[in-house]
Amino acid sequence: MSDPILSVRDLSVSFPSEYGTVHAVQDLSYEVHKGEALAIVGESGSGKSVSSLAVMGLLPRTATISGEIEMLGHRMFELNDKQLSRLRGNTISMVFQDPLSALTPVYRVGDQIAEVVRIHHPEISKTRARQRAEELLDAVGIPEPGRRASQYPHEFSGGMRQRAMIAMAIANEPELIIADEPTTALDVTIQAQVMDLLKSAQELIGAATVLITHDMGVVAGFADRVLVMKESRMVELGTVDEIFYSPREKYTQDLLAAVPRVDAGEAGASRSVAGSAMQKIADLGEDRPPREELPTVLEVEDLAKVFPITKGAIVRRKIGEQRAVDGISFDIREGECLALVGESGSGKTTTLMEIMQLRTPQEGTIRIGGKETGALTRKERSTLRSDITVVFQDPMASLDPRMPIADIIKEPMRVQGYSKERMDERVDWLLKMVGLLPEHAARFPTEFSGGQRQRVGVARALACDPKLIILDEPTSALDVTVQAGVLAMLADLRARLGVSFLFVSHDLSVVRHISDRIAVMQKGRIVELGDTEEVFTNPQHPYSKELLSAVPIPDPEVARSRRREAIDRKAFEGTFGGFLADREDSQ
Amino acid sequence: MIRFVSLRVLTYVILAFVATSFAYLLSASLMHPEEVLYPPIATEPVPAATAQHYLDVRNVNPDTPLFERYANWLGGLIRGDLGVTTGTNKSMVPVIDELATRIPISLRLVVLGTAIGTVLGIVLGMLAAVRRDSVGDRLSTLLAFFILSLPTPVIILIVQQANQGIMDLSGWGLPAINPINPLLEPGSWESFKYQAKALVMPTIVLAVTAAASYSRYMKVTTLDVLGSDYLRTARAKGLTRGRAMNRHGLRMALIPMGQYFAFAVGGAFSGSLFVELMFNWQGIGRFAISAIQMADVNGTAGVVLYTAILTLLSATFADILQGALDPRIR
Repeated sequence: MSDPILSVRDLSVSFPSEYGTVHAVQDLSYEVHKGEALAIVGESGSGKSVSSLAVMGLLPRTATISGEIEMLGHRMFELNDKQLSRLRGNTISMVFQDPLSALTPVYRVGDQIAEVVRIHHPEISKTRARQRAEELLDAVGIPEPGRRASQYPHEFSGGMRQRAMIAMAIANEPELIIADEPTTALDVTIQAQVMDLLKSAQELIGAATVLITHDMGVVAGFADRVLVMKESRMVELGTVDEIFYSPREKYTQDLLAAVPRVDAGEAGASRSVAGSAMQKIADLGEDRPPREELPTVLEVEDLAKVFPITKGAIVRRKIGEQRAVDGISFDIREGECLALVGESGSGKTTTLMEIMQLRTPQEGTIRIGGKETGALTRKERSTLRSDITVVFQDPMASLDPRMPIADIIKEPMRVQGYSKERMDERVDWLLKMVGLLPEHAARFPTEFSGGQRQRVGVARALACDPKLIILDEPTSALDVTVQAGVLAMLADLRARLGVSFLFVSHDLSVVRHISDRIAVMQKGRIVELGDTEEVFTNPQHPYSKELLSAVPIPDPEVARSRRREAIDRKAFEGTFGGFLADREDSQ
Repeated sequence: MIRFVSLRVLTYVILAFVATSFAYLLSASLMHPEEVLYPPIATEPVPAATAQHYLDVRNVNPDTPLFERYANWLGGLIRGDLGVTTGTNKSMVPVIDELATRIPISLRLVVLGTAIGTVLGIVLGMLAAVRRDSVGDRLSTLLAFFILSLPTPVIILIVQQANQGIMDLSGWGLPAINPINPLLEPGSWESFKYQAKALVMPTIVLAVTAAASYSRYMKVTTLDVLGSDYLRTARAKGLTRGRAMNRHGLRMALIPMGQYFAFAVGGAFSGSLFVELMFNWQGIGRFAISAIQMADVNGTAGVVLYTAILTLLSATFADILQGALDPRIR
């Protein structure tokens, strides 16, 4: 193997904090060779991002760093900001997580790309750099690059912004690209495109890549080697096949086992360890009577919600309308879990809001337990509120930090007029139900971890014996191992209590493990509704097929076979027979 | 664009009209300029016809219903006539003339003070944020809170005393009071030099108070920017810390500052009240105070009209500034 272009030796990073020193990274050593793709995976707080910022020299000044980072003969810790800035953007470049905030909002996208060229090559004229920016945008697959280059970041969609960031990262043909969770904020179809683009870009310029991610599926299709981190330390380092097919460490095995898989049905066919723990969840809740014999809990018929688009501050004129939900129908039977999946903006949340309002919808009808919501009296509506409850996405934001969890769980019961003794009794039982201890009742939400907080949220939703729980992305803020635990608990609750779920998610692989039926939403419509097994094995609608094929599969062999060329090689090389040659001529 | 501007102007005209009308109605119903006709030392009363004529000419006759007086005043307003001074000032100077001579005196103070204060505050605030927790940051924070906690008259006294001290020691100092030296020939170089020197101390007072509050705001917005992802991107592109801040951070930090600007002009106006009193400037602030003291109904309404226009103009300026800085709201 060739000499490493990056070697990190015994890197330790710590930060001072109110609670003493936080060791973000401890004794981390790895090497990256030319043209290689290394993935650093770990759950939140494992120190994976901090280690990459250390390579870039972009850690905050409060950080204490020890160890050594060597990049092409430069000892990074011995360089000052000015010397480092000559490497950054030229020899090493970086793609960040959140494309919404990573571009300066007040400058045109084209100018921001041209800037990275001009910083390192001031001899290139402004017009030429600008032209180069357009070529790069073309190369990363942005249509109409000329027009797009003179737009501002807020006029770009999330996926397009991330493409622009990649264009910036490859502009100077660096030796090393660091991608820090590049697709976490993106929809699954966009994620697939961006990952393909990143892989093709890396191969095109022959750069080494460090991919930092928590998503094992993304890793399988991208990396040559994988480094697993846990609680600031390295757990295991190996080739992608070693890690996925025969992990040595217990933690790596657990991590992989907790990964949900879209291809769960063909278990055994895959050699990858990934998803083994999730299998059990799917096995729960079998042998139930046929669907037709069960009573209907929720029935939605031709539901529509139209938002007017208005213009003018004083005299509001309607200039158009946004059909957020456009005539959808579905029903949920007792003890059933219906998953509502779709990408951002598909109308999932609006549908939930309409159901939770318990009022006459704009168009269509909603029936709960056979009763139409529009016909309810005030009192009936308030009683019905305990039949349909909701668990929110962000467990921290949805629990009052100033209330002990006993009060949080009691609140819905108090509204329904439960007696004090009954409430205390139920709090104990509920906490046990969701896998917490009754002794926890006096504690505050901040004393719990993310997964435990979400369990409190579920306990609150269960408080008044609901018939239906609406789960709005209940696990998307959690780490995979925690997610697996919460999903297992939900499946168990359903089997034991016979409560129905409306499970809203953007993550198809999660849904596959827990739902009986699945409704795929696109642009306010349900394009496909059917049994989960059927939809996953034999999707009918082209959009469902597209969604399914975009979900990354945590199995390197499968993932490799799905890779696509995504960069426009010709556009990258430029109109003047290669940008590099052009640049050398001008020097 | 034309539609937008005309709509904006129309809104402002309405706002200025409402503010001024309110001020007129309030002062006309609460002030009693007619009392000047019945001084306690008078041995015999003013003849009724003379008194009536005196009050009618000034449009302050309490026997005329309030709304009729208001209508008279409005009629004048449309013709560009704000009435004459009333109350103890019996000379009947048109308010518009009074404003015309005083506005330039005050405006140079307010504009200069705000401009210098803003720039100073922005620079200090940014430096304090970038060098957070350094000696300079702590010193500027302490100084800013010291200034903000002092009433304006005290600051004026400190500045005046400092000048006096220098004058006693070195024999050279700035003119203590008066914006213009009446002994010098108007328009001459000497007179201009005197005016410039006289401007220094009042401007220092206004600039220092403006800078103190501005630097606080600027520090907060800069700290926001320093933690932002786009600044990290800019540095990852190969800009040094300083260049990334100048090219990408500064403009972003200035955007929320535009909002404060509209209020700063209002603040500078009230600051200039004390400055004009204590430096003996015959400006609009002094006129405002004396108009209220003298029960000058027309004068008070005139001052309110001026401040309303000033505030609306600065709000417009702040909007333009923000539009120029931030493409997202264009």
